[in-house]
Amino acid sequence: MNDVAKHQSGRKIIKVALVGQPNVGKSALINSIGNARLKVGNFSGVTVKKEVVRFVRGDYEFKITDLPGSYSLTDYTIEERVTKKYLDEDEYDLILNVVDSTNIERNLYLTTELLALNKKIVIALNMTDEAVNEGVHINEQQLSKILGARCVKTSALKKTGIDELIDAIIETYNSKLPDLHLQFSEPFEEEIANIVDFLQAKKFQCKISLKALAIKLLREDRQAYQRFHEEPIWIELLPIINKAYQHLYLHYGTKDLEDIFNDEKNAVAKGAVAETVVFEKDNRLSLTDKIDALLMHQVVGLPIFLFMMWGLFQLTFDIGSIPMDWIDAFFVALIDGTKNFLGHTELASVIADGAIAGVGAVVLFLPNIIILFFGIALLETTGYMSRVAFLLDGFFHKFGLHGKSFIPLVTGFGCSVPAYMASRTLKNDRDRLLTLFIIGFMSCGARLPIYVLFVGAFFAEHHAGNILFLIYISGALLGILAAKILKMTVFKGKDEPFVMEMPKYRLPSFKLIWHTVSGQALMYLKKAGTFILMASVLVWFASNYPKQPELEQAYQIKIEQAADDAQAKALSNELALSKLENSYLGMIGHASEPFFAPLGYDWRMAVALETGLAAKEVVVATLGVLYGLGDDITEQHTGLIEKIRENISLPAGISFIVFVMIYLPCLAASMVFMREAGGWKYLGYLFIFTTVTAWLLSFAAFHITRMLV
Amino acid sequence: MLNRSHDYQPMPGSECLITDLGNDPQVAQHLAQMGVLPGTRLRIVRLAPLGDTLEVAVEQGELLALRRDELDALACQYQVLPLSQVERWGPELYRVLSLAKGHTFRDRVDRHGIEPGSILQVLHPGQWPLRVEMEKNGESLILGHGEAVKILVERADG
Ligand SMILES: Nc1nc2c(ncn2[C@@H]2O[C@H](COP(=O)(O)OP(=O)(O)OP(=O)(O)O)[C@@H](O)[C@H]2O)c(=O)[nH]1
Ligand SMILES: [Mg+2]
Repeated sequence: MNDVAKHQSGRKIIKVALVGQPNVGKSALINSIGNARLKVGNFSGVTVKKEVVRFVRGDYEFKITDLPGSYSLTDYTIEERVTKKYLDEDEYDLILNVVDSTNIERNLYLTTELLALNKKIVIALNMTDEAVNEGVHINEQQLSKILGARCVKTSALKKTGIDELIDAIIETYNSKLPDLHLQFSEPFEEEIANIVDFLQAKKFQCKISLKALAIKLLREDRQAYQRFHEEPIWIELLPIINKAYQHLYLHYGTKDLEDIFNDEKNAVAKGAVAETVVFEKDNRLSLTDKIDALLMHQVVGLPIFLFMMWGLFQLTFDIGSIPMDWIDAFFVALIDGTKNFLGHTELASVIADGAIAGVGAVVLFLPNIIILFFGIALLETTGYMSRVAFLLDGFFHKFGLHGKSFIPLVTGFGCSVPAYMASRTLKNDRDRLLTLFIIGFMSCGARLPIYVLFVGAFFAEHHAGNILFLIYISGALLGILAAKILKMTVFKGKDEPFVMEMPKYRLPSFKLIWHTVSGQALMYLKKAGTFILMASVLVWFASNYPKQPELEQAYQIKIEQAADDAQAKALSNELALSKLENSYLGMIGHASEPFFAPLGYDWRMAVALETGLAAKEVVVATLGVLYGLGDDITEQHTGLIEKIRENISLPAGISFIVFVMIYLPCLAASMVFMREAGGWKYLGYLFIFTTVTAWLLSFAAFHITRMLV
Repeated sequence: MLNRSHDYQPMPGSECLITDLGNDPQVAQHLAQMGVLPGTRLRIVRLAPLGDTLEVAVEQGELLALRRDELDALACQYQVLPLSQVERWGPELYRVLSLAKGHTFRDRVDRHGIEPGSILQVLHPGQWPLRVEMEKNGESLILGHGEAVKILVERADG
């Protein structure tokens, strides 16, 4: 035992910063090295916040920080800022730079910038499997020499080169930081040397090497400047730097230092590629070309996408409803069994009518949720997502949205929380806020149960999939319309440039899809077992208390005196109902009834909507508890869908669906919204905006449906 | 600014050489990051539904989506154009590079001996329908817009 402890304390910790351009397989690589489950997808901007993965290999403990991908170390978008800030300010032992071997020249731009930081660095030439297929041959030894950093060929997909990569990291960690190897053009090097000479003569002390510092100064790096402003040496250094700028301006014919450094970077990358990479054949994009000719077709591209979405919702309903009947039957039996076992007691009621009814109502929709998440996972991992963003960009642009907004919006069909985070990829704050405001219109997975429940209750089975599709599409259209209105009124301003990378098509591995979908399904179940369970019990208490002994006594006498069984039954139903109406929940419901009455809701629906502010799953749980209690006494036990059909009219049902489509997302999502938007006041705006819109449209839906039927 | 591509709908198949990233630093920076730099050759691959968003292929074959506004902000020399847009180059000789698919179209151009490699002259650029003369045999023919779009050409002298 002592031995183990010693061993553990003797383990060295290696802190690794994982950096690379977007969509090169950084997260996938860490998943294969450290058996992690970071989110992986085939588009740029999957990872938007840093995430740490730890694992142990031999005598070392690795602490790898997965950073959002960025094309260069600039700070335009929030995710780029995260990466730059981490590299500048955090403590780490070395940088692991992941590079897409099939697109090596462009990837080396960033590598050049990283090398200029003069930190220990290891380069993973990832996607080796694809590079081999495409006939791209990289001489990694030669490249290592030129860049002055270990390069290792890896494939996160095929899990090759992983051990070599670990070894390279450990070796680099244990060796001294080599001198900066980077060779820029002559004039640039000259100016660097000038500054370095001056600093050396002054015996200037600095954490990074003087050459790296000189490069930073020549790039007009804000931070290097800030640090220097406080140094006494600054006054003497300034003229030297200014002279250097003048030389560079003259040589390059531009006054844009960013441009100058870009040129330098590109020259380094081009040079390295020319010396170490052989491109064998040129049939690289043939498959992608063929698929795109159809899927991205100017005319049929969008209809194909809509058709696929329609298909997805058909499946969601048709396949989803098969196990649903079993699950429903199972929970009905469980409720009956519990009551038989425990008798007609309070305890039996809180377990059966509270916990089981509430949780059961949520678990019921697990199959639907799985199918929906499966569809979204396919969209995210195949490369189709960016294509649809391309197809829709024209329309989005007309409505004041950015084509890239499509990615957070689609994510919103799964869950609003990651969707709010995903909008970090948008450069412009206005575009980002606008997108944040309309993400809620994309109905999240947690609203699906409500739709399935109501659609199942009110529409014939062969229409159900269509109605479901209609709900989602009209939600999305409403969102886009809302964007237009917001853009014209609140978020006015110039359009952001739109430049987006089209990833290659990739066949997602079964494992990747399985991980994504099972992870989400488990989360749904976990939520049902914890949060929803608690909420259901709370709802049960609030609907059973305060107790009303006089009322019960009065009814008891009446029931005993009843002429026949039918009358007794009617009386006891009446009792149950009036008990419910006088409970805490009933009081809340009745208090908010004036607000909801014009929309056609009874107080129970009003309460369900209110509890839905905590989480959308709670809406069905509340309905399950409330409509379950209502006919507690009757002997026949029916499923939840039946109960909805019996208790709610069609116009009210439709109006309810419309309200659910639009009103405020759940508590967790609202908090993330607030953080991403930057303040309470935005949440206030969102609340007013969504509530007013939801009320007006539900009102319209209720009255129009009533006129029609 | 007159030589900007503003009045022209970019067409799939056109190729251009970027000479300058233009004077919007934001666009320039954005494009430079993606590997679009002065000296880069872009090929327009396809248009999105409303025609304002394009997919282009950069030299090494990476695909980018960008808007016409971004393309218009760049200074570029077109090196391959559809025959329908050659007036941007003025009256000269053009070499046919490729022909789009389509039965009736192929039949017609075959009949006149137009194939990749043939040299053509446009008699009155900008006037529709287009009057084209084959350099080989001096035969001339008239092409509608729908046909001219399908013939990609480069300048024969350059
Ligand atoms: N063929 C192949 N595909 C890979 C490899 N590594 C990653 N991928 C795929 O490349 C895509 C991008 O992977 P991610 O790990 O999400 O990329 P990332 O660099 O983390 O991307 P961001 O978080 O957006 O910056 C996914 O579709 C992966 O399945 C590889 O070595 N070979
Ligand atoms: Mg990632």
